[in-house]
Amino acid sequence: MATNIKVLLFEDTVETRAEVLKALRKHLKRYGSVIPFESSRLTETDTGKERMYEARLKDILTRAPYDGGTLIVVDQNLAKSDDFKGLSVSAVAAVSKTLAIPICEYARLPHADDYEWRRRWEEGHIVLDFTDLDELARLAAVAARGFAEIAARLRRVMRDGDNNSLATILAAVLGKKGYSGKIALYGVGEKRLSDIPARTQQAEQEKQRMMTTFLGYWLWSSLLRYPGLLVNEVAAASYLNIETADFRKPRVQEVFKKALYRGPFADFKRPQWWRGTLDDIVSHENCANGLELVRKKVGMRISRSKCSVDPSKPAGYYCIISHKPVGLENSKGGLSWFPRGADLTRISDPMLEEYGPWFGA
Amino acid sequence: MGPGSVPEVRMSSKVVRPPDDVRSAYEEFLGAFQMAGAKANLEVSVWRIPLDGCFTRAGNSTTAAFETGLYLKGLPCHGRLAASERLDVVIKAEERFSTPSWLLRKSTVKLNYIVVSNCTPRLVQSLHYDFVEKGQKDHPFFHVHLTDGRIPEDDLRNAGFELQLPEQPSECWVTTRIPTPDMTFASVLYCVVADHLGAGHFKEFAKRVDSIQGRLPHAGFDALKESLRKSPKHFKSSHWFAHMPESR
Repeated sequence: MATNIKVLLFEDTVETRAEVLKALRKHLKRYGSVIPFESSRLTETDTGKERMYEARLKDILTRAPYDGGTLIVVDQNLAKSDDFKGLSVSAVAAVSKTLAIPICEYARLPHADDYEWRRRWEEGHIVLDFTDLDELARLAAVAARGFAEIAARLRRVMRDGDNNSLATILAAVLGKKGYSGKIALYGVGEKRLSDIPARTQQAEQEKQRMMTTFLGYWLWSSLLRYPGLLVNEVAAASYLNIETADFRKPRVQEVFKKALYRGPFADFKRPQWWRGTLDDIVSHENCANGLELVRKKVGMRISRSKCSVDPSKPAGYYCIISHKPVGLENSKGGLSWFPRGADLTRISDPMLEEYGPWFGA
Repeated sequence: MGPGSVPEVRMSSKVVRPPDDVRSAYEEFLGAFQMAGAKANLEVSVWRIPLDGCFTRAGNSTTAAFETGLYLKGLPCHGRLAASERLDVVIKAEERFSTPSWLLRKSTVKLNYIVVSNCTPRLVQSLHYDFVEKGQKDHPFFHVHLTDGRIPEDDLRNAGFELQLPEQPSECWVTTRIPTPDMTFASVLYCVVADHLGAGHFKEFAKRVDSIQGRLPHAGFDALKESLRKSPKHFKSSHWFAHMPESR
């Protein structure tokens, strides 16, 4: 576990800053520090203060105590910042991009669950909901630890020369070199081409930072979001043909423990599993699916997974909007904005009916 | 069954989870084939059922089946077509494996070559590559069978071929069986790329799929090996036939 994590906090309201700071420190524990951005404590000349906000911030973030940040955690609304009146998150985001420091923005999202599937990579950074402060801080800590872990692993990968393509590099970072082909499928259709690290000559350290940020966003926003290579709890249960509530039972979880994802951004509250390892666990016991295996191994009453649209049918897939298990014939997959590798991600027919025209479906 | 619907059998609990190596080998091979097609301006449609639903339990707990199909629209063809015509191919593959070893026990890959002229299709060539581990009486172990047989209507639709073939059968005077190497689904696709997409695309495709080969299920052909082993110094084509081990 990386221990030199430095989180930079941008929050313009003093009371909220104290609360977020406390929560972040609680969740980062001994693994890192949180430095609040306080413009009143800056030592800038009057001429310096006359410059554009982006230029000033760039200077500030490359000097102690703000230099070497692992992650910037920033409030969406910074208008009240002292000495930076009317500062916007986009100015901070622009500087974070220049310096290749990942950014995690928070805002009160009116319908956080609904927002989850709508956002893709448009923001070019991580967006978290501020409705629950503790959960926000927990997720920001997961993100910070994840980026630090990627940076540490990336140093080894680049040293070992596994750097033919971005997918090869990410596969090596995840310790799954054999999956580079599958990971590449998560890059197909990717629209944020400007975020791909340039191939121009850069200082090694700068290249590493840019690569860390890019791979982190890719992993967080694509591979860990769209079930395919990795599966979240509902998608894993659906894929294994096990009812989600039964899949949560500790004795059932034990059967699939080997497949648990433990890489960067692994979150014990929102676990994910390697789909390929789930396949291996099932087929190794010569079982047709997870349900058959669990019934064989665990002496408990276990129910099959049901399609949320037609419970008489088995599920197998995951609806990215309703977050429910869904069957093949009551859903649609392969939408243009799904990564090609996300073959377990679908949209249920009722959701499709509601939003179809906007999906290009 | 209407367009877009999915065969009922896939909805049942018959779907089986192969090991990651096997599933991903098929997935990557098909992906590489589609990519080669796209680069050669060939329109490739894949089976309506996602790959995960293509592996099913067949009969007992030690046999799994794989079923899929492809529709290749506008296959490059050397010189025989009129300007208003195009060559389409529909491929239907059915394979069986013993589990948990995932050794290939049976493989049938059907190809329908269809010439389309002004939206009117006609079947010009039908064939299937066949293999059964224990052999079929008087059949070569691995062979291609030239026939007049059409791929069933539902399978054509599942592969994405929507035109209506005429009712009358195609002409195929000689329904002969020709011994072949082990032409499984992957081998057939490999040959399609080599035959139709040009040397440049084939070279790139061959390089791409080379690393996948080891993960594709291997064919079990103990009967053929046994036949060859019995008279190693008298290699002759009859060894390729399924009746040989029995008649010796």
